[in-house]
Amino acid sequence: MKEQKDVPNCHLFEAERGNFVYDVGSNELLAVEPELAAVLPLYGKHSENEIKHILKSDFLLSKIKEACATIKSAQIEEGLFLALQSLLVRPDPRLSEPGVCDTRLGHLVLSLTEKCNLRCRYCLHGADLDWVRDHGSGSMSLAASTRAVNYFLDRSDPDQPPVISFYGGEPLLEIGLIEDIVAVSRAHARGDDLRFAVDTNGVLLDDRAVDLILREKMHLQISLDGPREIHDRCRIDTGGAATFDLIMEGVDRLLVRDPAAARRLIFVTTLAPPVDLEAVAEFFADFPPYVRHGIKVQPEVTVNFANLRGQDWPAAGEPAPVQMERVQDEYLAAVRDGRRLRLSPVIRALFEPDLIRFHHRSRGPLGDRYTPGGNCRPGRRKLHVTVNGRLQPCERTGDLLNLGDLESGIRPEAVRGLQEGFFAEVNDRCGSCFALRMCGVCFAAQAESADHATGDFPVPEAMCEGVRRRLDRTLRMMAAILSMPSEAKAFLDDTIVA
Amino acid sequence: MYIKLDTETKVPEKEKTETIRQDDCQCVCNSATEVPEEPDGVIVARNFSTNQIQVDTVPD
Repeated sequence: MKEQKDVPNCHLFEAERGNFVYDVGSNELLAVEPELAAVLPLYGKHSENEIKHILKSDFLLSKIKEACATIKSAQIEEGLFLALQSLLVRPDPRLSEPGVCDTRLGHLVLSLTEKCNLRCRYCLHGADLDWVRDHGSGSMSLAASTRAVNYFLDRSDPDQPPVISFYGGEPLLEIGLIEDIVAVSRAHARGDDLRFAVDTNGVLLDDRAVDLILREKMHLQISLDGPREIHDRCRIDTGGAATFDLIMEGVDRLLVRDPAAARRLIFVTTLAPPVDLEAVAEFFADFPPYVRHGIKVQPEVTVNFANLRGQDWPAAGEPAPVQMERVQDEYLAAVRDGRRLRLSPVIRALFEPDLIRFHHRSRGPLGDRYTPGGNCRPGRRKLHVTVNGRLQPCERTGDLLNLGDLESGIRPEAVRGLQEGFFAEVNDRCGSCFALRMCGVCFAAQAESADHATGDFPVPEAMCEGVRRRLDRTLRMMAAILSMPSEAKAFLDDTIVA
Repeated sequence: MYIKLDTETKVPEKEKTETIRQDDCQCVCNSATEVPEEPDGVIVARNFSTNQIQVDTVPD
């Protein structure tokens, strides 16, 4: 363990209710007295006398002395306020060996087609970006998809149900291919365990698609940006026509036959300027299809802000951060008053995954070694197959980060190369970052910043800054929630993020 | 001078009342891998999303 006589590895913040510390070494969130908050950034690099001198105009000397003694004893007795920094280490090379990197696969994502029947205004595929393909016309052959399915299922994790996602373009343009792949997959020895998912724009939910979805109990992820006037502003078809009504008709077609299918639906909302968060929240709070079909649960909603980097998209309307602050206050007030479950699922989706994940974080001390790069095991966690049979770690890693192809399978040297490349990009900055233990920056971040000319895959510092901002917001919200009555915060214990 | 906040109460899985489902990418990639120890060639990683220990066994 590398322990330096240095400043405690802490993130301090001041909130309405006082001073707080997120202690990286212990992963604890603490409320601290002002004297302790003032001393912590100085402790380790100044002597006690120097600290007293620096802070004497603000605090009583006796309180400064007490703060120094508290830090010292907490370091020894509780492992708090340590100046721990993990040694960043490369992923174990054995994890990229044949028979390891290509076994126990969890999730196959098949890009069935590059074709899409929509031309959403914020779509990355139409934005002429380096790192993402343009709208294409290629489709996967049945032979290639059969090969991909068998490769995946032969190597799937025996301890969990394998998942196959149909992705695109718009996968429902290839409904016949999906039917064929389902038949091939069900015939495999793992066929009975399989779960299917479709990532769709929801426009093509006709009787044939609904038959298949209900028969196979498929999970659907449907892009829906909110009420008609908001959705149709961006999500239009290739001829420029609106799509909201078609989606509503499709969802109705599904739910009228089986309202229980609502449990397998997720709606993905993308917010683009001018953002009207409250209008979107209101729409999903009384979601018209669920009201029409007497479905009592709230819809599952995932909220994204449109990735407009590199696109000429003028700012418009009230800035999203201002709206976020307002709905954050609304969320905290609802938690305090026991109204949390009556909130729009949009507002909950904006904050709760981070809060709940933080609450259920690892409570152990920071290890002496740390491998950056998230839990992603390229190809094992998720294996994306492009229409032309290239294998990738996920569907968000652009054109350049490849693991092999359907001929070669997952190539160990490609896995190793990805892991080494990521490590090389971040190994000089993760160690001192307070968000180290809650970071989700992964290969997708590199894909977005890839330089096609040089082949460099930088991890932008701005992305790291975004992770820190987001964790800071979560910590502030946690500090507020944890000061609430026990019944108000019980949801943190009773809820898991799956 | 300090109070530990956010003491996790371990709730048996069957007693958990809600499941928040996340965007698939964030669900996993927002997790982090830690290597607190490495006994016998086994990498132990923690998935913050599920609070489960993930064990990758590597060959000797």
